[in-house]
Amino acid sequence: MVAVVHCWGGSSRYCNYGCMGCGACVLACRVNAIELNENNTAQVNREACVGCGLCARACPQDVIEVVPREAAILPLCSNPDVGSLARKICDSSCIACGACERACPADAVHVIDNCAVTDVELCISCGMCATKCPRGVIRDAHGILAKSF
Amino acid sequence: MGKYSFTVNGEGISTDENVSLLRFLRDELGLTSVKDGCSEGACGTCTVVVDGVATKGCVISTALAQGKEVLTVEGLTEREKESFVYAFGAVGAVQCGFCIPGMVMSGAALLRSNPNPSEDQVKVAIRGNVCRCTGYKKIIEGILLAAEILRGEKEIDPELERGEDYGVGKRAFRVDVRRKVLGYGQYPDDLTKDDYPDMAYASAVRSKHPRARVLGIDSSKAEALPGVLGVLRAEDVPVNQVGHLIQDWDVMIAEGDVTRFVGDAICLVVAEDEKTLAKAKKLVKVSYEELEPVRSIEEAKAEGAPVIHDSFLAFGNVVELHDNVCQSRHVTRGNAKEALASSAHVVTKTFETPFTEHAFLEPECAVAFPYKDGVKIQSTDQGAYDTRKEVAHMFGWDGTPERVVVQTMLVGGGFGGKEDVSVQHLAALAAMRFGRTVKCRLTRQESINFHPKRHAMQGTFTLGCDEEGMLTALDCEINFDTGAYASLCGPVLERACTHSVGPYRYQNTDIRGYGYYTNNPPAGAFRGFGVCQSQFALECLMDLLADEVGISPWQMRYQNAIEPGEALPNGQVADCSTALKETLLAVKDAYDANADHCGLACSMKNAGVGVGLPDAGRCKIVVEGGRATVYSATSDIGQGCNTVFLQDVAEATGLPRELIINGECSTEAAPDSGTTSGSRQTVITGESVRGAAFLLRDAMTNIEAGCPAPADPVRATGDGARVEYEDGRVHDVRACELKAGGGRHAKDPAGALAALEGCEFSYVYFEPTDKLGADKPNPKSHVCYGFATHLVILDKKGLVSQIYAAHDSGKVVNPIAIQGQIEGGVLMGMGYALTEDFPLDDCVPSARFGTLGLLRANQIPDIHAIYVEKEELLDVAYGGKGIGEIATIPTAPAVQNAYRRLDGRLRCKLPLADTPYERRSRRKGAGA
Repeated sequence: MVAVVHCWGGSSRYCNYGCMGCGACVLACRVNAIELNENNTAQVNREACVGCGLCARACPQDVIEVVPREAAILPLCSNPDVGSLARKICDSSCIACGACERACPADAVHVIDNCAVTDVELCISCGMCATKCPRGVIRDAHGILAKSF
Repeated sequence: MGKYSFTVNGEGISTDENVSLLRFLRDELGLTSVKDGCSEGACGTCTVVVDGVATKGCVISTALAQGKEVLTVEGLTEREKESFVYAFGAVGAVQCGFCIPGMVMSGAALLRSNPNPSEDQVKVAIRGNVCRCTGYKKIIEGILLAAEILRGEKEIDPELERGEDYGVGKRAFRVDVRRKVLGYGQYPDDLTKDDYPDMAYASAVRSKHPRARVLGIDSSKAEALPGVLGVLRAEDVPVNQVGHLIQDWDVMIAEGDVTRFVGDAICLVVAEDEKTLAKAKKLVKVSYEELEPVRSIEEAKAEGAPVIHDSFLAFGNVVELHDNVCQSRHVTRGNAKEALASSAHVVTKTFETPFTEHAFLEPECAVAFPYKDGVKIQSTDQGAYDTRKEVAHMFGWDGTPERVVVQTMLVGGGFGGKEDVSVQHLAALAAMRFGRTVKCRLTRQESINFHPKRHAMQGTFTLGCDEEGMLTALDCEINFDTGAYASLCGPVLERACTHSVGPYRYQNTDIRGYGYYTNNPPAGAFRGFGVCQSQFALECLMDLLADEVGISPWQMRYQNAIEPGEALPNGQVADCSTALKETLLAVKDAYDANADHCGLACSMKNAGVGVGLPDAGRCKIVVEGGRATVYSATSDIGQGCNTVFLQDVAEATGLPRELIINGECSTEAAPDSGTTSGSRQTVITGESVRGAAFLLRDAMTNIEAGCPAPADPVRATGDGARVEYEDGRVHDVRACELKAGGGRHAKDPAGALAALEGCEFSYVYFEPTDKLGADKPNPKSHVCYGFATHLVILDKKGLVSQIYAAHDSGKVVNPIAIQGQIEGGVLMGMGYALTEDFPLDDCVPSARFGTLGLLRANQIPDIHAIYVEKEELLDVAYGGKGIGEIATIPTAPAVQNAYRRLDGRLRCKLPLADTPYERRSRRKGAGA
């Protein structure tokens, strides 16, 4: 298992739903596997993470999830605003266009409350959604089909 | 330099085109190991390794590959290649082979990063790769064995692939392992412009509506597009009707006519290349008058329902129809009504099962070109002669079918879904019209929409027994939705009826079966051939009765189980090889240990078409180039019959594997040995191969005795007991020779064979059977039956943790292959029980390949494939009986019985509701 932060923290960002850069997860982690990046957003070091879930429990915004390591293709946004608004407040936000949902062969990713959510049990990590996402919200841990996270 | 540069197998590549890597690797670089199974990211057949990560070729584009290293099977190191070939062959991981290069690449990526993976890690690594044949277990074992070899812990044994010891019952390395693992074996889609420089491409514009009148077809814009050869319509088809047994299937729907389902072809566009073809198809404008479709059996039965077919052609006779009943059967014996009235316990329940998609990994494809005074078709199908017959009918060549030559290439799975023509006739039509080589291939969605499914069933079953639990009678009505066209509705319905009784001994039955036309996709043959549906119902009732009587489900089955010499409910006397009780005993310990959270089911399945039909096996062995070449037009759809035939020859003649080879499987080169259907190839064709091999063996021993080689072809026929030569000589084969290991051989088989260069040996095996309803006390419906017992065990979470599958399939010809056959069948049955569905939205399939509910590698239970082999076996085909279909039949009712044992609820509908496998809808507004 591995922790994933469902927010990439766009460079210009006025979002109330993503990572706030509070650092609670950093304090909670016992193996130094999560830190704040240059956008003041939590980022997981997948090599170091042991998937214990302490960070997820510590997160006041509830944007950290622990998923199977093979779930390597994931949407990294938690914003429930309608697309037009979400587009304005962050340059790495899900605008609920549904391209991922239409592309998914496994019916695993759905736009729920204006935000793409992957059911990791159904996902086969083919990456079709990532290649279709116009906002670069869906990322590939391996960095092959989309930018890495 | 082009815009996008990357390396493929170490070589620098540069292109300006932004296309999927799958298309680029296949079309531009000719790397045909990268298979196109769906182009949707769902199946995994196109898996390649990109920068060390297993990636689907259809998902990644040339633009995304920029600067990356791409690796295909062709680029693996020699050591990796040899390790995978040996490992996959040694464990029996290869069946149809279409998923295999993708599996190898997922496996190779894993082993390069983790040379010593656990079994679970292998499962996760291949969870994006679907295999429909093996049930994954053998593939997982194959990858683990390859890992051991690559780590230097195990050695490759070259002896196994060479096959010095290749007789019946020996661990035979399948003949097709190497070409399937390394991806150079050719399926029809692997034939390209390199093989046929004049290749053009054809694809049909299909109906938008399940039932609509075609008002007009405007193809003028498409025809004007440069690169389009033409657009063919119904009026361009000499006889606009095909069909496997019943001819009712319009090749194309003419203007003014009414469509019957969304797969109906309206016109066929033919173009120089696939891009132009796709563009041209969009330019065809079809106008429709939408009509109310017939959605279900109820609607088909309803007063005033539109009649979908007003007539069809059956065996040369036009049959007029006045309702939507396509086929019906009535099977009776004894007096069910009276017997049920006087039974101590009677249960009645209504059951419902869905359509099921075959989901073979290779979509339908055919390549056709003008040939001699007709056309040659290279196709993927289940019977070259069946395809020939259907295509010849379309051309109006019923009297001269030999003008159509059909060659079966590698077949990427069939499971019954490739018995009807799908693209073969379209490719042939275009090839004849334009005088060109034409490839016609279905996209995955077209395949799902078009080819016949397993019939959806609604059936009401009443089963009775006496106070001790001895069965008394069965009364049932089976209703099948056969969709838009008959396909194989008649025989499938008949098998559903004749097998609804189960493998027990009682003599009162009243079974009524009806197949209804609707506007749903057609239904036809599917592994189990109707028996999956009716056995699901019967075996669920067996558990209900056991509870009423107060005995265990195991005891209920054991005390009713058929034994050799007793009459089955259809009257046929069970032969000496019958071993149903042995299969029950084989799972008894596991049953006793898990009685409160497990489920049992038994079943039987015919091997051979039987029921009085002229179902012959034919084989011709020709000594060519110093090798015994086995010609028999049979489709090896992955089950491995080509290997079985070589084993039969090795057993009969004593020849080593290297001196026996399969000949071209075509209607021109090989005799008709029937369809791959009815679990018949091992028995029916197998016996003809053995017959021909005995003729060769006799010639070999004669050579050693100083006789000359036969000047003329040697021909004989047999019915399983006697052999009759063409010149009238008759003799009985010595009993000891009919068992594996009991034959006499030439002292120096290789030397004797060399003296027979050019000689020909042909054998026809035909064992007559009785037709349904024959006026005999004990009619013989089929040459033989296979029997099985499956035991499904649930864990604490309610997941299927183990399945014991005990099979009586007579003599096991190839112990390596049979396990994978059983495991694959069991997993298919488990999917049928729990996850697979085929939802229809007003007759339009709404499932895609990835949402059919096919089980993946990380969901498999531990499957124990057990085969019981009796001392006493049948005399034909060294005692082998088919395993193809029966492996999938008892699983679904066993799963239902297990859940019922756990929570007391009878679930009468498939897929089963309220199990941990039920697909939760994550859609918005659906309680996400």
